[in-house]
Amino acid sequence: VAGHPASRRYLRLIEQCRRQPTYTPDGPVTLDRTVNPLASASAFISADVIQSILLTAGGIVVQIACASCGKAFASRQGTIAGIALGRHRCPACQHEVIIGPDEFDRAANRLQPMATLAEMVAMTNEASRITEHWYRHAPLDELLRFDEVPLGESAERFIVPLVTLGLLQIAARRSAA
Amino acid sequence: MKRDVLLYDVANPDQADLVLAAARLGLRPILAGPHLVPSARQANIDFLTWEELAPVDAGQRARRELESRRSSLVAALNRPEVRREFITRMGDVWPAVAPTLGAELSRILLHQVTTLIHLDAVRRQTNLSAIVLGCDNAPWQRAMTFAARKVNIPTLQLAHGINPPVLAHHAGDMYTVYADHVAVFGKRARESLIHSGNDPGRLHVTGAPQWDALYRDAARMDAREARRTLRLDPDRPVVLFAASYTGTASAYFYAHHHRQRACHDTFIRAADQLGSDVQILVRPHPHEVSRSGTPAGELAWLIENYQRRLSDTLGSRVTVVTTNKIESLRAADIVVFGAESTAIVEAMILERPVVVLPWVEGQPILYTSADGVVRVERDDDLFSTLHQLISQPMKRAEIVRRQNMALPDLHHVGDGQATQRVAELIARLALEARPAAQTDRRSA
Repeated sequence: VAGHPASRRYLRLIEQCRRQPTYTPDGPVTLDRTVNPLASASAFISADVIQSILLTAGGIVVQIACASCGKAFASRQGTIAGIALGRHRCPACQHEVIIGPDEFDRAANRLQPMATLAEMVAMTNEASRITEHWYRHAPLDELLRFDEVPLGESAERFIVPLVTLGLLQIAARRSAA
Repeated sequence: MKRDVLLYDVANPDQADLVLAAARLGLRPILAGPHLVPSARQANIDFLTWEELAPVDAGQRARRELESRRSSLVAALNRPEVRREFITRMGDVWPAVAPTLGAELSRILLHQVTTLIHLDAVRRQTNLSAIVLGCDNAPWQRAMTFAARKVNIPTLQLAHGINPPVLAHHAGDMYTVYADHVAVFGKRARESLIHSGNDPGRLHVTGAPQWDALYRDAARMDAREARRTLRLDPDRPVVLFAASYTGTASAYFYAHHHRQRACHDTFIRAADQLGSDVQILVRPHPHEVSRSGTPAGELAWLIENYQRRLSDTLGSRVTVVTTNKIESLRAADIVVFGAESTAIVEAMILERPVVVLPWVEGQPILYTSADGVVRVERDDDLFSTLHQLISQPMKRAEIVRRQNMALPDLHHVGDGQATQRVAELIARLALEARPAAQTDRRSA
């Protein structure tokens, strides 16, 4: 390739790439961008870059400390076939990181309480009890009505996750203490 | 004057035939959202859209309404009797809930009030006689059932699954029917809802309209033809993994994500052990991307990267399929599930042997070995189960035979006529409805 007439203007670049495999025309890249991001065994970022994980009914949100500039930012973590796989771009320096299932699980094992089935049942029951009662007190019950339709009662399904997450936070604090 | 029927959050394009069947019965559908409009337009039926009937200022009016209540709501939320409700045996959960409750509640209330203003406008402009809901337990859907009941407009929910036995009470979850009526898939779905305390008179066994397509001749292609469609080798065996995802009721418990991953990896390990002759299909759940909040623009990247990731282990014999559901099922010699999925019944209807991995220990199961499906007791047993079934066609045929025996319990009649039955139910509800007159609306 280097001998082809069309390649002559790129000879210095080709030479540079041969000397330094991580070099690209856009400048040197860090290891986390050169490792094959698809190999299951490779970690693209260290798990401690993930500062927190929020599991919600509408998806997963990860709080990431940018490995390049240090800025903390929240980003949605994709999943496919039930496993975590997503890429995230730092809003400050545009550095991109890919979080695969291994990195996600390492961080989740560190940051998320692993509730037993009995604990999950107890927390769901407790969250439901709260969700079904908090809006029933005057004057809240009247304020949460529109044209006689009870809005608080109608909202139950979406409030349960908030309360459950609160209970999980208490559980996490207790286990850490 | 034609009776108008609102189809709200009926977002499955497979329901297009239901719209046409309702129109054939003399109803005028009002379609909410873009999913069913192209087919209605193509069929040249008389229909309206929810969007065209919207008051231009519905959102503004809703905002003004909520803004006027804001300070009173904040004060009411902070009253001691409300705060006391958040005290649990684990401790006071209010400090953890409060930072997000306000924002989430504002978002929910805005959607609810906008929907109710919108519904009122639809009533004023049409002869609204029934509301069909794709789902009835999101806050605005449930608010709609209350509003409709107040003015004698019947509501019908189209069930989209069969509920497993309930272990915990989850307020607002699908095992409680909030619409006046629900059209369920079969006897087992009905019994499950009765067991959860729903009035049997509201539960109509119709079969699933979206499964009618599975009974058509086109869906009964032979495995070799299906494999060719998917560009697979028609002569080599195929195992399909129908992946699931953490649903709305369980998403916030990491244990479910953890188990999901374990099921996935168990399958990939077993697929690896099966050897290079066996072709592997992995089908992500079609709702996963939208439910996980993944931006649509990321989908191609996600699929491509996932495919390459799988290829690291399984080479070129693995394919990620996101379309061609029927072909994928028919191409497979065995279909493996990681969770209790409604698609299990789809595989049974298409006469493919089903293997189900264990879920979180102690969680109630819906499909048992009495239904003919193979329940693997331990993850480590998956390889030997698949290996045995691949090499023994007679055993696979026996599983299909037993699955077929269980199907009538899971899916009513199985004649491909569920769409017509649901359309007739909608027509009956709409014709029997005696909606309150508009002028009576406030006093109704």
